[in-house]
Amino acid sequence: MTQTSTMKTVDWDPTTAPVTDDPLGWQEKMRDERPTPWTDNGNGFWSLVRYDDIAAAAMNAKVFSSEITPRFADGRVPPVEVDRPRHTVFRRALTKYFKREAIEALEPVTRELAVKRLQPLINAGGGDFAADFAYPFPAEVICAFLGIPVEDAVDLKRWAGESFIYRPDRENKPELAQRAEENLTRYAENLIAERSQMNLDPDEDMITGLTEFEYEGRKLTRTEVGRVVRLMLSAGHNNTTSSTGITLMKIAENPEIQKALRADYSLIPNAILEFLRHESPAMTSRRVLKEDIQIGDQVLSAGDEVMFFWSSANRDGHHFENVDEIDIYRDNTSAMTFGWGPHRCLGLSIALMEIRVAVEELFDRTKWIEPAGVPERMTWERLGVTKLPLSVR
Amino acid sequence: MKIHVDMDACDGHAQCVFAAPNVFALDGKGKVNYVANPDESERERVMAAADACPLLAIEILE
Repeated sequence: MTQTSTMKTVDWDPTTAPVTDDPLGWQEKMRDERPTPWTDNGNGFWSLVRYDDIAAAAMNAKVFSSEITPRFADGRVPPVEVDRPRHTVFRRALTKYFKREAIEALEPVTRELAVKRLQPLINAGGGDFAADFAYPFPAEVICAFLGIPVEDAVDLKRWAGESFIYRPDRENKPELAQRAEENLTRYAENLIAERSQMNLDPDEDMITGLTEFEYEGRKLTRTEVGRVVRLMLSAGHNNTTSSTGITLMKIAENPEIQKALRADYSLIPNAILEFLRHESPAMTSRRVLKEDIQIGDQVLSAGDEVMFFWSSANRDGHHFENVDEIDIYRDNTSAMTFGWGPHRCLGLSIALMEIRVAVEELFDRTKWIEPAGVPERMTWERLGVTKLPLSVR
Repeated sequence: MKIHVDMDACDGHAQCVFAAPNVFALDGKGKVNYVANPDESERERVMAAADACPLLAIEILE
């Protein structure tokens, strides 16, 4: 007979050491020993770490609500922090800007931006590909996507980084995060005001499109449009920076894979998916329970917060065979790298295009890349690479 | 019930396949096959599938 428990005993704290010294190792330990670990950090939250638990929960948006306590006092960020039916309205407004044709149209300028950042590193025979490529490049692509000056990427990048409170390298600095948030919000509002004077085609310009969008006789409010645009200013590059760094690191560290990819570029897209399954940058997403739910022998109560660990699902040996191996031929259809269910990342095709273009351009211009030192890692709230010394020839 | 999938928009993300496996299946060429008139008992799952489609390509007609 199994006992059920509603007790909250502290099992881990994924936001600090020792978990942050080896997040994937700890996630594995939790998958084996304690599939619903609790932490008291912040308001306290449960974590889901097993593939099947997360798959079921992420599709069950009625119980696992995205309408969490907003991090900042001035309200929710749509579409990530709203549920159906409101969520669907934002999706309707946004989806067309993320379709295949839109992404194809963005590819030529992405290629130019990649080359501009790669060439100095190649000319120098190598360098820090995290700081000088993976960091600036994705924000510049988002500037191109939104039609704003590429030079603004510097500020956007800094504010977006500061808006994350829990970065271990700057400890808990809520004032800095709040200020960064205000800067991002002001930037978004100015952009919307500017665009509203320009008579742009709403099918081409996302910001104009959002302002004019109407569904069942109701437009989005100015605040709602502002928050969506503000979201793009950070969501559009934070994870892509991490994903680009991880991809380049894995290529440099795995000579056999590098050889195969250089010989056949058509293998690159699936290889990127596999690198990011192996180490998934966007480790977590947060939900709040609308009802009590039992997972294993643990009862999670209505009102409790739950963190889905996508990075852990992607390393669950009950779902993937040879889970710890990097197999660039693996079918990654069921990988949760970009989330799962209605809140799955809207921009994933842009991200994958950017990274593919970066790898292709790097390969076109070099014969070989390899590690030239030990990478420095970020292990919370994302998995990433903050320093990636590579030599190229 | 009756559904339609905009195959032009479908990009093979397969969220529908996991949400409603009796109604949607991958075709092996990066798109989905689907049952156009699923049984009424599938409604809840098909709604979750429509909701989870990143391209909003699934339309519930009745």
